[in-house]
Amino acid sequence: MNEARMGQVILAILVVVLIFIGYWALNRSANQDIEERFHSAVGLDQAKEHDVKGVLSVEGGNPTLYLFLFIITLAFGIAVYYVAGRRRALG
Amino acid sequence: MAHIHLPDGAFTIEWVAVWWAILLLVLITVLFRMRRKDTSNLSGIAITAMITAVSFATFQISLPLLGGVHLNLTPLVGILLGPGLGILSVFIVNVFSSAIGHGGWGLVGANSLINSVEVSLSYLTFRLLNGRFGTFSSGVGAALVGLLAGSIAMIVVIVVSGIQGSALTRSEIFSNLILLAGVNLFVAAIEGTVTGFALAYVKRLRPDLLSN
Repeated sequence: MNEARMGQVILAILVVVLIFIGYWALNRSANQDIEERFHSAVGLDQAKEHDVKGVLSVEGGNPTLYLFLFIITLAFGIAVYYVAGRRRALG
Repeated sequence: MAHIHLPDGAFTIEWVAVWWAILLLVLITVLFRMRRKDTSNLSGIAITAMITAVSFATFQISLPLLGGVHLNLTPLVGILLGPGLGILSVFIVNVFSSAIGHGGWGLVGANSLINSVEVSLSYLTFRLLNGRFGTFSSGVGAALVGLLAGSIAMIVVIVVSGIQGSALTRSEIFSNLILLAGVNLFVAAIEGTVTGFALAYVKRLRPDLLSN
């Protein structure tokens, strides 16, 4: 296995480990949005920083769904990238 | 990615002044060093403006993930612009974000410093890895290192400054923030992947942006 390939494998393992650490931390921190999570972490009241959370503020509340969606999207993206790279290399 | 989502008044005025003072020192140093370099590179200024605009727009989009998170593309900013222009870029993004209510004005100093850590470390890590590994892998690795360092910087800034009106001790805040940083790792994995793909694409279309 050459050095570049070894780097990709290490990174892939690292990304998956980070995802599972994040998922574990998320389950321990209750299902809150980012501001609520921040406020409770520092011991402040749950008052909002501001009313609007972003231009495209869409909320949902299912961490397991997020995990699966993210892993599927990531796998799809890497597969497309790999196939595109192989096709470029072949011709 | 790492960003202190607290309103004005969370930090005491002394700590707001301290973080702003440090940021101003960093900005003055960056501007002074850039002044000594060639300033006739108009395309560089245009690219900086475009990347800053993209970073600002991305910063405002709340992804329906983990209860609502946002990316800010600081690793990509650092890798494409370098630490000097990258630090200026994240400062502008933080000022504009505060102007529309995303983060308190008093926290612009602290948030810009945290983002500057992400920008600088991502740039340095990418330069280190890019010769040995591919662009995608180097981009992902650099982003993860930068974002992890940014999360640590965020925890240090909050714990050192303390929070006004908090019922928790510093050690309790620290342990809670470690958990928050754990959640941030999930977002770092996403942002790292986005950065890797973006850099691989940039390398195909504009390899000169990565060689400078």
